[in-house]
Amino acid sequence: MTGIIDAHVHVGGCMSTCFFTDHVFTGQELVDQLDAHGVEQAIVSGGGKPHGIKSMNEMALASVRDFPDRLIGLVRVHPLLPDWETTIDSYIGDHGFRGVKLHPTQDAYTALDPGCHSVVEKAEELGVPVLVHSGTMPYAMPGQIADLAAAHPKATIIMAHAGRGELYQHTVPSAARVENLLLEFSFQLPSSVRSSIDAIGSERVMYGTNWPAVSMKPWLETLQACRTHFSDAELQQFLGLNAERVYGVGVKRDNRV
Amino acid sequence: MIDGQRIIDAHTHFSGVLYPRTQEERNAWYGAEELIASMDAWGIDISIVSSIEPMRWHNWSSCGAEYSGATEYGGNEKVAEAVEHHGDRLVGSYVPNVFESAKRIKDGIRRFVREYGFRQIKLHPWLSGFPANAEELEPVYEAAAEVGVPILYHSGTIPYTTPAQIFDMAMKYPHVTVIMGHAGKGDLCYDALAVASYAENLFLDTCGQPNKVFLERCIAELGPERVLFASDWLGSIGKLPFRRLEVEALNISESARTSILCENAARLHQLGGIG
Repeated sequence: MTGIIDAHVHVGGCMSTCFFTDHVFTGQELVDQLDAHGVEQAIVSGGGKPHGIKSMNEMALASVRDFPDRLIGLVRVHPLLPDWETTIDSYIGDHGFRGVKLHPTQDAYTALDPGCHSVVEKAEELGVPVLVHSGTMPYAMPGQIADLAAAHPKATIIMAHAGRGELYQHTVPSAARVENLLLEFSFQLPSSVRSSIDAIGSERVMYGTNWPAVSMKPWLETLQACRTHFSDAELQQFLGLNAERVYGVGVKRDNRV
Repeated sequence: MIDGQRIIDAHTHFSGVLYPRTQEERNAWYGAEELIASMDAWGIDISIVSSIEPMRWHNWSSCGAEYSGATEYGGNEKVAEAVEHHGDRLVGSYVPNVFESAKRIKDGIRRFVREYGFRQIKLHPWLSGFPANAEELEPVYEAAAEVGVPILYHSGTIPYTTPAQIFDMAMKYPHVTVIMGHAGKGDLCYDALAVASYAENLFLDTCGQPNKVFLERCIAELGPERVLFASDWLGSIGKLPFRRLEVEALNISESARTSILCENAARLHQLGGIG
């Protein structure tokens, strides 16, 4: 399999790691993992304890600058803070980041907060997608994220983790009713990818790991073993083509970073 | 066996599709033949297996619902039959109906342990409809202590399977080995590590717990002897290799990995003579 894009990774850490280790995961460690598992590019945002949004974004920027051919940046913003719009302008306009990350659970706002609508409108205006954490109550449930996407039919919203555990039951019906909603499958299993493709088609599903919380090893090796459950076209779309289309990474980026 | 490493999967199920959306999915069934084929493909030597059927009360004839598929033991019979045919690969895990009388609960556990060699009791409170620390569980724990088998719980799903509820029972019955399946899953993993640090008879398993950093922290704090490899196999695509590869990817010593993949399950379930 070539041209694989991991649509959800972090530098620094993430919600799932920051209270279990003080280790700061670097861009070099990330790229070492991409190399080890044959992944060509990754969509990266900074992560860690929630108060560090500014340093998260700086860390993501440093990593993208170090590995401009491998890492595509997402800027994380908190829609209740006054600097969200200037932060987006800076990272997307000046530094070539390709999307926005919202984490309602870590930053404690509902995915349907008016501020989220403003962020999505801004992203739509700039022509970039918004990746939204999902799968935890009460702020980031699949139905809330689907409602956010439904309110902005010309925007592109990606549901990170596709609802995670039991809330995955809400994910497929939510995605089925909102066509501008895509699913990213970290914390999920290949069976969920199969059932989602069956329900909504193969153009709205994306491979992602949420590294460093989750190893890259199980997904790719299991997919190799389960190839017969997917067509070649489905696998290509899931593993890279959809992310390439949504993030526009097939186009060579300029040197603004 | 992988590279000479014997592997015991401490948590698997015979099952239909858990969340069926079509009649075809509702009719699906993944049993012994499918499980053993998966084990062969992925190097698993022994699986400890329960059936999903007895976790649902309507499958027990004693419940009085007159469901046409109900049986005396709710479907545990299928596991007993599989264990009789595949005793070198499968070990039974008995699912009691906690709403039966204390005598029926205890007699069922005794019978399946003594007659069919079952080595585990499985509780799935959110499928069965009771809190993980319900009073109805007293006879289950008393029988587990009597016959000397661990109790495996589903954990991580509110409101019935929180780590605190499971911890409550582990503290009340310190001589019973309690395994917290899924180690609290995604949202309740914070609780799982906290409570396990206070109860030495409480163990964690790895399935449904993809957080590598969390598992590594558990192993470092509790010791590798407190964590068991498990896949939660239900017949779904790729689940068994995925779960095994997650353990392979953990940044731990090889002796710790051996404990997790084999030794802990063998010790806790007394599987020395099997396989």
